[in-house]
Amino acid sequence: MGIDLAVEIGNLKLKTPVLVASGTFGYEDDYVELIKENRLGALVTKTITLKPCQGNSPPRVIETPSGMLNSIGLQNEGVEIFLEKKLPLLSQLQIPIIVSIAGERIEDYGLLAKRLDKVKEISALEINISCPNIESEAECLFAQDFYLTYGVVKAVRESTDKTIIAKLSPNVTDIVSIAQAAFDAGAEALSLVNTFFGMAIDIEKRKSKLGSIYGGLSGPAIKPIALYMVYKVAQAVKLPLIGMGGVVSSQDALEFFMAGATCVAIGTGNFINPRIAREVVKGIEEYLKKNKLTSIKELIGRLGN
Amino acid sequence: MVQIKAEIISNSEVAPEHFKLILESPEIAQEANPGQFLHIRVHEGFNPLLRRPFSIYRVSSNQIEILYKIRGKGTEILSGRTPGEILDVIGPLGKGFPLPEQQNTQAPVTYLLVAGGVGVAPLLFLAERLREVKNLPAESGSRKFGKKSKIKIILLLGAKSKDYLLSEKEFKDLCDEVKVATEDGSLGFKGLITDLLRDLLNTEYSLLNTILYAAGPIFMLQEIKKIANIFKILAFGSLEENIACGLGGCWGCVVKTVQGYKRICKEGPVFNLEEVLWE
Ligand SMILES: Cc1cc2nc3c(=O)[nH]c(=O)nc-3n(C[C@H](O)[C@H](O)[C@H](O)COP(=O)(O)OP(=O)(O)OC[C@H]3O[C@@H](n4cnc5c(N)ncnc54)[C@H](O)[C@@H]3O)c2cc1C
Ligand SMILES: Cc1cc2nc3c(=O)[nH]c(=O)nc-3n(C[C@H](O)[C@H](O)[C@H](O)COP(=O)(O)O)c2cc1C
Repeated sequence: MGIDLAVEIGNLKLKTPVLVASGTFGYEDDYVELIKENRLGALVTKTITLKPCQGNSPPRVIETPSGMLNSIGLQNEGVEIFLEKKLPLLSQLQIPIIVSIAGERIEDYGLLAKRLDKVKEISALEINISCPNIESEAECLFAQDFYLTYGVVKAVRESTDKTIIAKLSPNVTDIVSIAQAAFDAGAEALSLVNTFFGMAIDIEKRKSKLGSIYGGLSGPAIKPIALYMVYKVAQAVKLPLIGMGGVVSSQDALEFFMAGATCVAIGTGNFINPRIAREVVKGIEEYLKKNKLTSIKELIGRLGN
Repeated sequence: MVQIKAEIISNSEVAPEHFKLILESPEIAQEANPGQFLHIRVHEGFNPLLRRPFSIYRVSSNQIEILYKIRGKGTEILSGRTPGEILDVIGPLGKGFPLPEQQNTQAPVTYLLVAGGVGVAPLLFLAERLREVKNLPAESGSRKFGKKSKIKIILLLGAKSKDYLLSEKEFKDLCDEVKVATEDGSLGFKGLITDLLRDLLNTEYSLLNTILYAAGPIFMLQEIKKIANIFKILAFGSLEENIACGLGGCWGCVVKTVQGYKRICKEGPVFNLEEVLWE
């Protein structure tokens, strides 16, 4: 019997449970060529904003033990140029495209969702309320506050019929309550997690190694904490979860499924190997075969003891 | 651009802490241009995590070479890799040095290459290509024979001391002149390469129709930008920043320019220095 890797996120049907995480994929021709055979379930775009955004001052990335810090600051050309120039290229991949959106104010999110609602090449929206690298009207990340999380997700819900996914921040005391707020406001799935706030200092220069002082930590270094958060939320909230944080192998992905994720997204792993997703998909298949399972769904949230 | 598994042909120390690595890859060798780089995964593990970028130092029909300096963990691990082993390599990446299409017979032109330390790497490949242009017959319409080439290739080579001078011999075979500067004066001009450059431009007026290509540490490039501005010469430099994806995807490796932030790995690593706004 064949192996069934298909999963559903809201109305979205994904052929495989492996996605590219937001901000870690290039819109360039070469890149599209490289990842063509990656068997991706979907691709999440770099977060876009209403207006062009110039991003933070360099250095913007620095490697740390088994991880990296970034402070890109959502550099992007804004929604209109995205639609005109980037989306057509992504459509060539012939996989569902999930567009990640962010704003400085709650109403920006609503406006973006409205603008994208009728664009047929877009399969779903991911609401990035957890970027550690931008300023917003809130004193914190939207995803650090129960009411703001509810407000943003609600604004998007009222502006689109597309499937909406809320992307949460791990920089919170109680991830479950935030997940609950997103659920209450109408999110159909949750992405967790975005990056952890972090720093690295050059002791010779006595300066931060990042131009904007602090940034977000990603990669294998964060995997155990991300996994824990996925597990906690899966226990409490009945929504499909997109688990991410340090997935660089099929073993990592399998851990996320068992913790309760319906699919996984790979971020930093793409930088190490742009073809990593195909290896992860293949490894998942092999694991299922070896364990005489026929569907990935038999693994999701199945943790013994 | 391709992602390949390339066999290591050799990996040997050429100066203290400096290694030359030769890889088998006809695909990359045939496509590469001077100033472009390779993004190399130095091992299979995850610490260090990211690939490391290196300029292409030389190509032959089937092989590519890089020249690298040991700085930290990544380059340390790379220096321990041995012939016969396989490296995961992506390349060629980025936009290299703009090259003259053919000999321009109208006015004599000097290509002035300024290499600081391991900055020689992209410039040797460039010198080879410039040499090919120089060896082309002059443009049709002008007398082809008995005319001396109007292209002159000069290299300024800088290092800490004479033991650290890289690739001097290789450059001597390609350039019309090689001028050396060492910080301790153990060979050639004593002082910084940028001081040598300034002296040269001050005394040799024939150098005013010059295109300058530079690679080296950031303070050298910053100084060259100033000098190029004073003498009104066109100067291109190969810039470095921490690079994550290397493919234009993550927007991590930017430099500020007159047109906003640009990616070292995509719009660069070579930039017209006039455009660059260092903070
Ligand atoms: C486009 C491009 C082309 C390059 N070409 C070459 C080349 O041809 N030959 C070569 O030897 N190197 C080249 N480099 C630099 C090379 O990529 C770095 O030296 C290497 O990544 C260091 O890795 P590491 O793990 O050994 O050091 P890390 O552990 O990453 O760093 C160790 C120490 O070295 C410093 N360091 C790291 N990178 C640089 C840098 N670029 N300049 C100065 N200090 C640095 C760090 O701040 C740190 O203090 C290039 C870089 C770029 C962006
Ligand atoms: C360079 C870089 C840029 C990122 N940009 C975004 C972004 O624009 N929007 C977003 O929601 N997440 C962004 N992220 C976070 C990732 O999507 C992901 O949540 C996080 O990196 C954890 O996964 P990983 O460990 O597999 O990288 C970015 C991460 C990195 C490393």
